[in-house]
Amino acid sequence: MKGKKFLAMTLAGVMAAGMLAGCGGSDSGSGDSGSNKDYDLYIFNTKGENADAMEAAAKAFGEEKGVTVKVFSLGSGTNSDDTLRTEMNSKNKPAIFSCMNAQALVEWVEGGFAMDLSKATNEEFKKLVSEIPESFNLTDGSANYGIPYNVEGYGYIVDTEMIAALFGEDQVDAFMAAFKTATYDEFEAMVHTLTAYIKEGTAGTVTLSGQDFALVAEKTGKAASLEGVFSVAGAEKWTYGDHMVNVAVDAIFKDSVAASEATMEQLEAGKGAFEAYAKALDLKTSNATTERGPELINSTTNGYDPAVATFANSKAIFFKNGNWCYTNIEKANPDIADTLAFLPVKMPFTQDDIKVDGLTVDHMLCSIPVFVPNYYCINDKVSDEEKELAQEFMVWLNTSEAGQKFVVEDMAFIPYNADPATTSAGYSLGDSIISYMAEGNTLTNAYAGAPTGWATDTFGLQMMENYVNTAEWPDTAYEDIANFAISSWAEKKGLE
Amino acid sequence: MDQYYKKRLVPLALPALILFLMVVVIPFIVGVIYSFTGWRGTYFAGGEHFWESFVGFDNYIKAFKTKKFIEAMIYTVKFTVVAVIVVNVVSLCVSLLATYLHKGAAAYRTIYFLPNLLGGLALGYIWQFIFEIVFSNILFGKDGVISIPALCNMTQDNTKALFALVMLFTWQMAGYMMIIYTTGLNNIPKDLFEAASIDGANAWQRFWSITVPMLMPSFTIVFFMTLSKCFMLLDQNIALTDGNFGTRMLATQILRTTRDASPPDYGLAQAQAVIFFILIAVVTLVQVNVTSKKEVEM
Repeated sequence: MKGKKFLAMTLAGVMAAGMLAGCGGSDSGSGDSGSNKDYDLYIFNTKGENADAMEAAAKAFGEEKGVTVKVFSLGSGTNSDDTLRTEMNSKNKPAIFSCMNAQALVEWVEGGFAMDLSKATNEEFKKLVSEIPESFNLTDGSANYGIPYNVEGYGYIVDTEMIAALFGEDQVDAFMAAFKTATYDEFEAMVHTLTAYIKEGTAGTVTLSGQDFALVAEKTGKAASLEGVFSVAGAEKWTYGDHMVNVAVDAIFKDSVAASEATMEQLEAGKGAFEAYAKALDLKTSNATTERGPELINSTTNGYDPAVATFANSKAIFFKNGNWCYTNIEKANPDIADTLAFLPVKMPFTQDDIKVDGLTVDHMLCSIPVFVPNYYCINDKVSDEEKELAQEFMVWLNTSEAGQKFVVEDMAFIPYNADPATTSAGYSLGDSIISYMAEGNTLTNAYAGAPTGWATDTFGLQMMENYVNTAEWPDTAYEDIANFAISSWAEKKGLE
Repeated sequence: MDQYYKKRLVPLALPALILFLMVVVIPFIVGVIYSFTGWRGTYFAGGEHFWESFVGFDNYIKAFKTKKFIEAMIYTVKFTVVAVIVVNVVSLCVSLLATYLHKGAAAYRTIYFLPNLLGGLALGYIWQFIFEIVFSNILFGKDGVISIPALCNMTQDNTKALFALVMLFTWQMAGYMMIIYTTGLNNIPKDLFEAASIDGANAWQRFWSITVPMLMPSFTIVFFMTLSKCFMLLDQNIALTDGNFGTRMLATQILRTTRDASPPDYGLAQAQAVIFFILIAVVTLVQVNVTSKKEVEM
């Protein structure tokens, strides 16, 4: 019996020790002496979707320059942070790595990894850097660190064939144009009219920008399958945080750098904008395909994939998402893919709510956010030769004809330096973004400057746990939401 | 045979020892050291090497000041208390049943053991479907077979989710614990029961005076396993609720700490892991000590 007891005790110790070991960090590999690398340039690619394209581009570049390029890609949808950190700890560090935004940049600047691009040695590269539009810079406020991957955009995705089924084939272009300039009140009235049409079959008239659009009396074609105005991925916290709340944050801060330097006064001044957000969210969630309540945040029926399917199968008219969603929609229903377009996410701002100089209500109503989702950074801790090669690769990828072919065609990117007049994305949603860029109707991605985790895990979670799961909102809901947005932001940021 | 093992003890044990040293002991020590530094995943805040980045007990103080960590700890303890009781009661009942069965005992045991072979994430998603669709819509919803609001949307409420997780965990663990109990039950000499029956003890008295004391060695091991597994629960927690509605447990909290700040605070996460380790070590050692004292010598 004694022996057994000892065994049990040892077992307890061993198992408990095993638990902790899993969390242990890896050794810091300082100094790169004696590294036996079998490549000249190492690229760490975070976007799994373009793994093959990146591989091909690197190979083409390598053949042109007579060097060996190693590309490491993760599977699509995988969080790359931990893998990248492991690689950064190893002897053979990547020379080109990726960074999402100014928040994530802090880590790489503090650790001495991200190279200040003003220290570049290659003349062509310096020129490339100087030509990046200011709003697309990856900066910590003092220096510039990144070359954009591409640009992306988001808004309400709509199927133009659905508009044709609702208002008649000849009305599509007029409707799309009128929607963009329509006021929030017109938008709200339209949503209610459409809900009545879908639920009760009452064919009313929608007024947008002063123009009347009559609904087709009988629900035919795609309109027959409608179940609601909006498809809402209610179980996903980013549905309420991230890009939705960004429209309000855009009204308060010029860009993500301004947002990251937010003061308490600025946040409190943004109360009106957050209330506008709450009103827009209320309208959206109460006119979704699923009734607002516990069912809407059910991840089996209202997660991301089910929401995509709902939209793709013509059960909803609008679906707030970005161009990255295109392949998912195409997979769910290829017939719909070619007729998609973006419409702006509208919120009831007044000019008083908008705190950014020069930004008007009209501009906010007709614009979609277009932003850089990811940046290439150069690692300061690799050899000078490899840094030089990394710069050459960046120049080659972003300016040479061969490089651009890989970017546009194989990666299906909209280049950040694209000329809207001559570039075609080759797919409906991409072209839609380019059309907004051509008109200059774009907003920024200011929410990326909010404290880490605020948008999704704090604010988005609050919306999901306390509002979207209840059918009836209290009278004070709009104000409460705005106050929570401000106080939680301030708390995470350590503001008083 | 004994001679063989005695002579070659060192070479035979060496591979396991080296592995254990490399993947458990060394990372463990490194981890403890890092918990006293400003480790950020790829560099040390405030210096090139870890000794330049020592912050003393700051990470530990910060851990106890982190509301999420304290909430996660309380929730984990609540879950553990409920789950340990439920798993033990269920698995003991099931194994008692199994020992009284004459036909099909093997098939019966296999069926109960099967859920244990599934991975935690897979289990979590299966049960998410059960709670969200089968429970909420088909069985206990407004238009379901019988309307029981308490069993609807169990993943969307702090308390309900606790019981949802207990159900899942019981379903997964009861079969395994049943096997241990069954072995223990089979080791109890039958003549003890016979003698007791002759003396006029009823089934209830026989259970409390013979089965329970004789089963104490099994209790020790089952309690230890359920306790430590409850504390360490991670996959199921993430798959079922992902910590929403305040259901974050300790392991999930440690995992997510690095995402809560930028740059990621690996030092803080490591400090939480050390606290986690001490907590589990203390609880399980006390439990093993207490229950093994109750074991009766034959």
